[in-house]
Amino acid sequence: MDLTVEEALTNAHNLAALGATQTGKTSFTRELHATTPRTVSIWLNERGDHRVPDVEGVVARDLEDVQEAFANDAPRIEYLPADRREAIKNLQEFLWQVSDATNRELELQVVVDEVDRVAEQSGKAFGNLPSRDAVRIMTSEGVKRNVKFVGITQHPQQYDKESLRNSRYRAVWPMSAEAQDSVSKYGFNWGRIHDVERYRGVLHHMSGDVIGTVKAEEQYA
Amino acid sequence: MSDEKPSPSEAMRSLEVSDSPTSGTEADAADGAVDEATESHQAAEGVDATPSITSTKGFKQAILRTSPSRPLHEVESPWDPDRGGITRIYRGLQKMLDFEGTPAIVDLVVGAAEWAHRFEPEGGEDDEQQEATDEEAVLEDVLGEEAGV
Repeated sequence: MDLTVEEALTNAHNLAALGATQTGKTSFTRELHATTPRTVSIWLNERGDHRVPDVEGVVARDLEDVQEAFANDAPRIEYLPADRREAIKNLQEFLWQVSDATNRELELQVVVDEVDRVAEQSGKAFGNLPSRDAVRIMTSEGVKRNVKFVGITQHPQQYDKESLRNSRYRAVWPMSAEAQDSVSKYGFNWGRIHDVERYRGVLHHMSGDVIGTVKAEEQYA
Repeated sequence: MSDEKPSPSEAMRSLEVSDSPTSGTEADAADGAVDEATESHQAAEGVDATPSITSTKGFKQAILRTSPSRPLHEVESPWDPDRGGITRIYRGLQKMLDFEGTPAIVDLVVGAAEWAHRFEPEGGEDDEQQEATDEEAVLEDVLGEEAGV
């Protein structure tokens, strides 16, 4: 495959980071958020005990703060809303307006850790689960609007399958047996995933081909 | 596509924010409201997106709901005794403890107590009226005695 790891991590196509806890996926994604050449990266974090620490960027507690950060050309934003489910819907709508206003030339990135908590697998029809619908919209239409969606989860079996399928790139770390079973049809190279050094993940294309490996620098671990 | 990439601030300048998604405060005020697209989906599916307040889950959500939240800019001046005071203290606690507002159930209980307090008989006035009546009676007695002397 001609595609390089750098190209995959910086273009507008979506990325899913899958793996058990403490395997290195969040550290890698934290580095991606901090170092991406994309103009703006927004990390949708959780308040309280589940907050991912050391996320780079100005802190925004509501959409007004996010808009203010945009007005101040803040390249990195840590979005800490009271309710992530409500916030992701409003964020998606706002970013679509931004995309239209800039003729889709502004490079944006949205990172959501524990994405299965806002876009869980559910039988509810479209329109009945707004937060999941927002993620579906971002993963299906975002690439055309220059919005890269990065979803992180240690429970791929609980993550909305349509949103996961819409992720062109999948960075995979070792995971539990049931989680591995839930993504058994994605063509991941499990042999390589288990052979690489600790905290290193294997980056796959949606075709199942391996693009390369990824690992966070020490400062982001 | 131009070589020069647009900036976020340029996007905000050209964006008509008036039609943008609402802030947290306004979004909280609109809690429970559903846009037309979702309504049509719901109508088609015959399913309610939010639990009814008559259900256990819906009732629990309702009494613990903290929206609509009071705007943090309610007291703008750094020194405003007329509007500050308890409001500013409350805002400070919100920031320290990272909570958006008191649950609805607290508003209901405190509000009911405040409302009941308004209708309590004001014993002070009755006592004052009685005291005035007694004073008048004493005065009349004194004047009557003097007149009779």
